[in-house]
Amino acid sequence: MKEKLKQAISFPMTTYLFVFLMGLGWYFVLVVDGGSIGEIFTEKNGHFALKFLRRLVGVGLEDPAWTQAYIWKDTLVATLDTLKMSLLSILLTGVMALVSVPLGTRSIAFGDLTLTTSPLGRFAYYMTQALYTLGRAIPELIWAMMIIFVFKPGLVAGALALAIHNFGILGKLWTETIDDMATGPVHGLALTGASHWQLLVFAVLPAVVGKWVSYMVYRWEIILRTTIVVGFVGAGGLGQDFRTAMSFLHYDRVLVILLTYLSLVYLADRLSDGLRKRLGEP
Amino acid sequence: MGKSSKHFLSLVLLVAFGWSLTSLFHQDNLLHRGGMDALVSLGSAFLQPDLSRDILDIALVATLRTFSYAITSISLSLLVAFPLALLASGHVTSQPLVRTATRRLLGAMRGIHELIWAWFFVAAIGLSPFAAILALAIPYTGSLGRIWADQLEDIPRGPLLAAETSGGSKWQVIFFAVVPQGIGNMVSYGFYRLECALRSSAILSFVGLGGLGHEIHLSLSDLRFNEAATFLYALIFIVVLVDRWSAYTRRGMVH
Repeated sequence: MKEKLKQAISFPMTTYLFVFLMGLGWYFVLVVDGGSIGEIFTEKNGHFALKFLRRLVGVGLEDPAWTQAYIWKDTLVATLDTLKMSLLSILLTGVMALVSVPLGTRSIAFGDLTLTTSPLGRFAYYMTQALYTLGRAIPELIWAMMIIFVFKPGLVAGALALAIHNFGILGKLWTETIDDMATGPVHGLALTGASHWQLLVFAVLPAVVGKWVSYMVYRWEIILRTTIVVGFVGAGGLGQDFRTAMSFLHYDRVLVILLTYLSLVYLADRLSDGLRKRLGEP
Repeated sequence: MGKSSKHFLSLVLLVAFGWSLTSLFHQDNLLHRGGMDALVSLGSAFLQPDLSRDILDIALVATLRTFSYAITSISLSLLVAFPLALLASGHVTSQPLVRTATRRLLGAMRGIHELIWAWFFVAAIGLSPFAAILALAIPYTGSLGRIWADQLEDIPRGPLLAAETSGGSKWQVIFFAVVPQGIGNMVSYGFYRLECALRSSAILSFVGLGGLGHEIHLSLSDLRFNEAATFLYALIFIVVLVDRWSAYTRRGMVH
């Protein structure tokens, strides 16, 4: 217990530390990078912002993008690609997490749950957790930048980049669910002589599967939102169209893509909320 | 959830996943011709990051920049999200309209990804650090406000009723019964968002803003994988640091 307390930081201490770092951050932004709040609200910027907004809605254009059926149709096709990418990605995430979770759970590796432990199991636990951290710490877009050296740019490359990052998050959430579950039933089964795998499949899995699905739905919603970002590196879907339109300064087309994207995110939000409520989980 | 609707849901999911797998057959070849070689050189670069003095100097400044953008934007988000969360939690006023309107506002803020906000801000105000800070602060205010509102709503009612019946004013109830009960979870989520802000701040470079992502992007484009590895390690380092800080703080608050 004493060992644990040594690694604790009190709330006031954290507040001081945060305020200090915040000061450091603002100092860097204002002094080192020379940012000034005044420069945002200059007449020139107001002019640019207004011009940008006018072009977004297509003021002065003869036929702005939102009046043209073919642009809506293209955007719809891109939306389906985006949806497909998000589903492929959460499927990959789920498979990778499922394979790794038996190795990466503390209460399994250290025997708190399964009543058996081995040096190899504990080593595998640390390795798996390190993989989770690696996946989590590097953002999707940077994974995507690296992946397109290996894979051709496309839906699969984008889905993989999203999956590697989310594997780190889902793996952590799933293993924590097992760490937090009631140990009674598992111990009972372990004492009757059930094998390691029997324990995992018949005692652990049924207890956590609801939470796991709920977490998956939650990550899917976030993946769908992020597909637009990996699209920037050519992974297809709405993101790629957005980037192309932005680069060609076709801002009226950007508006169409953005409206579609927002509706998609909104629908996914509702669906995910509804599903999670029915599952009765967080 | 009923049994038949469970079967139905499983069926829908199976079809959806099956459909998503068809994208595997869109392209003739998933890998580049030299894809495997690239994988090997990326992997070996990770094992030998470039630790020369020049690169470390660049990495230090880039890390400070990424960190600064993250913490300044979070500081703005905290300031704005807190009052919005109180309004959205229904503790300040029981008007359902206020609650719904605030929640809609928060939803709209976080609906658009930070990178897209960044693109807009760069288009509108140019490559200023404030483009980065505002781009992060807006969606993060949306997320913080929404989750904090939920956390404030879910507190146990006992202490709240006690404060009310003993004659506490509305603001006394909020600051002595509501907030203290929610603060643990709120701090936890705040830290999580800081961690996310670090990662997001690193990718803002994609629209031309500086930081670790910018350096990673440049190094990767020049095929200098060893340099990219150094910057990636710097990013991992600060993310893990914040993660540890968060874990120790939570431990300290429990005791």
